[in-house]
Amino acid sequence: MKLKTLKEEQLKKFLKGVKANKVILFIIDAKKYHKVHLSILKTLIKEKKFSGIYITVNKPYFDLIKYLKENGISTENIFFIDAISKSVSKEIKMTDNCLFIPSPSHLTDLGIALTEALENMENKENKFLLLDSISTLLIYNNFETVAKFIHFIISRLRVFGLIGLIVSIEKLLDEKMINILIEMCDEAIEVK
Amino acid sequence: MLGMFVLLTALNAVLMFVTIIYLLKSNIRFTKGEMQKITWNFSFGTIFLFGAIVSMLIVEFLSLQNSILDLIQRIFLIFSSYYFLTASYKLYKVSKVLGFASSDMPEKLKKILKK
Repeated sequence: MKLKTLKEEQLKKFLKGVKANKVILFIIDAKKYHKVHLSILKTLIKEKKFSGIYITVNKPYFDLIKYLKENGISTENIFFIDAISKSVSKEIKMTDNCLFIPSPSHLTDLGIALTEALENMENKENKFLLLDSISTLLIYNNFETVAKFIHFIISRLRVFGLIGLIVSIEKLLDEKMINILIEMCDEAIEVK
Repeated sequence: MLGMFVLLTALNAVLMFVTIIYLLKSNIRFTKGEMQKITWNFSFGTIFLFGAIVSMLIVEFLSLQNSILDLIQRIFLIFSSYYFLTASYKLYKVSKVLGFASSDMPEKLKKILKK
């Protein structure tokens, strides 16, 4: 499979046509990250009325919620898994809107949480899982661990038939990682 | 009768030793986090139980009842129980958080999963 390059305006059209049981990798230009990230969420939540799980290793939950609300994205149908807000708890903690995992290096716990969530999901065709982002995971974990974890997530998504969206920042991934990800995902989109 | 008891205790010690090896080997495969902490606790619990069984074997074999080794054996058993209890409690706590089938799950998450 080849890396497809899309412009911002083409992205919306692409997202509208996304079907269940697909895993898509987004490699986003750092300068356009915020815009593209919002565009992905707006299309899925506002237009396609999807609900899902958002794994954040990039922005702490409270900041992310504020940011999404400021940009008119409802968080009612998203459950968050936050692996970056170390300050909330030293142990795994579940609140009404978010599951806090103490560190992005606790991938085993993240994997267990995900499997449990996926196994309990119904109507999987209108559900998504967003991982934001691989580049941040690579700061906290070594290459091999992240590659294994991504493979684990992707195989789980395939088994359960969800839409998987994996976000990464361009230039923060090396060629080897990109090649592995392209091989694992159904589509790889570079947003310029 | 004593020979039989010693043989069974020796077998138990070997099994404990194998258990420790398996636990420690599995532990290095986990990334940091709750699972690793739980496995550490189970490992320590098993190590102390192994110590207790070995000292029990020596006590029985050499008839050292009411000696210091007999006391050590009981102390090891207390440590072992403590670690097993900690591991079980941690597992219980994790199951409450990560057990998405639990009725304790937040309403919002239930709604999203069932929608």
